[in-house]
Amino acid sequence: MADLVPPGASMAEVLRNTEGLIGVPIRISRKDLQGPSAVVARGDVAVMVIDSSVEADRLSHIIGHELGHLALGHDGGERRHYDTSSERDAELFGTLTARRMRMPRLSVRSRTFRW
Amino acid sequence: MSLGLCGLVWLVVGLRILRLRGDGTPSRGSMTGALTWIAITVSLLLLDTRFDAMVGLPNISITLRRMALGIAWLRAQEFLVTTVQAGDSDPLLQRRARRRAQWSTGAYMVASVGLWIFGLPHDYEVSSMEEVPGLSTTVFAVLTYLWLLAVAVELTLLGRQACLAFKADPPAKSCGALLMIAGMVGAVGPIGMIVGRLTAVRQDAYQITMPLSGALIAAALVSAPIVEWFHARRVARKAIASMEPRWQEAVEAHPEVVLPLTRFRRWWDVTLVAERMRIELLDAGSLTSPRSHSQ
Repeated sequence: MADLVPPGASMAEVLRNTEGLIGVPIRISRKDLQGPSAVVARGDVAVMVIDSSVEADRLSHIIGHELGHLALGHDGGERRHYDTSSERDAELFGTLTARRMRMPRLSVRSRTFRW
Repeated sequence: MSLGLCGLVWLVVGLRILRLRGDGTPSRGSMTGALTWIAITVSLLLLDTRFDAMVGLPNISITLRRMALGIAWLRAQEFLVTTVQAGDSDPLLQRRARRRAQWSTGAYMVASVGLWIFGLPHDYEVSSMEEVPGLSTTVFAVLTYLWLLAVAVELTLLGRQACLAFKADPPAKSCGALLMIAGMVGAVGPIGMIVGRLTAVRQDAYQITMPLSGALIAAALVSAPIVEWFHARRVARKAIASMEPRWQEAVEAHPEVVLPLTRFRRWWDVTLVAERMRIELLDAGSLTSPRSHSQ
């Protein structure tokens, strides 16, 4: 997780790191999904669709959720309910991603003092 | 007490070596190397005559622990100059600081060896330098004490500088503060030893202040992650308290937005709970909003 989402990372950085982990490019688009806030499916390219109504302040954890499916090796998923273990795991991943992205980006000097 | 302090220093060395395997930047390597030599110094101070008896050379531990401390100071320069001395990134000043440390420590090491060769007896153990009178012993001994004092003062100043530079970063500031205190405590030993040497009054304070200073340095090098953990928990608890009423209302209306967390996780990872509450508030808000319909 620390390598995938360094503290203060941008979304572009997180996407790049996840692409490196899963070995396929990730394409994101927005559509009216009529139900889930986002869906993802993995093939030669990982395709992620975000519902067009999702506001900017919800993007980091929603994209983080779908990246969780990819990083945890799920074939796909949709963020609607947390009634399966794969959806709960992906949501936890999304939450941790959002938390780490909101942390301050530390200078090299500050990082040296930490673990 | 000294044994406990020594154990603490070695424990931190172990933790730092483990961490080094994950991220081996030069300043982390310098910090870990220096701490290892400090641990060796403190151990030699504790073993004292037992070590001499083991190797069959009376008073050798006095010299070896001084050499170890000198190596620790040299090894620490990368960390001190590039990290603790924050804000002063002029390469010329950094190079000068390193060179000053190298020359003064080199002279100190020569004086330490000189003290052992010319100032200490080789056929019996001395329990204190006061047992060895003589001008040459005094000169060598005072030279080494002055170096120790200079190092302690420099550590105090560097720690203070770090405190000021990391004002906005409390975990890093805690490290600077502890290094400053370590320097102040460390200065007591050489002052006592100089006074003791010049007045022939026995001064044993260094036997406590040296290991204590070493333990404070060790504590400084693990303080940042510990302080950071507590700081993050405090901030999260405040956020939870401020969100709680709105969150209760929101999840009563939309219980499907709640991600179940184990009781242990809720207790242990307060920052995760705060993040979940923030997300669940946003998700519930989006379900209530007329233009949105998705969780």
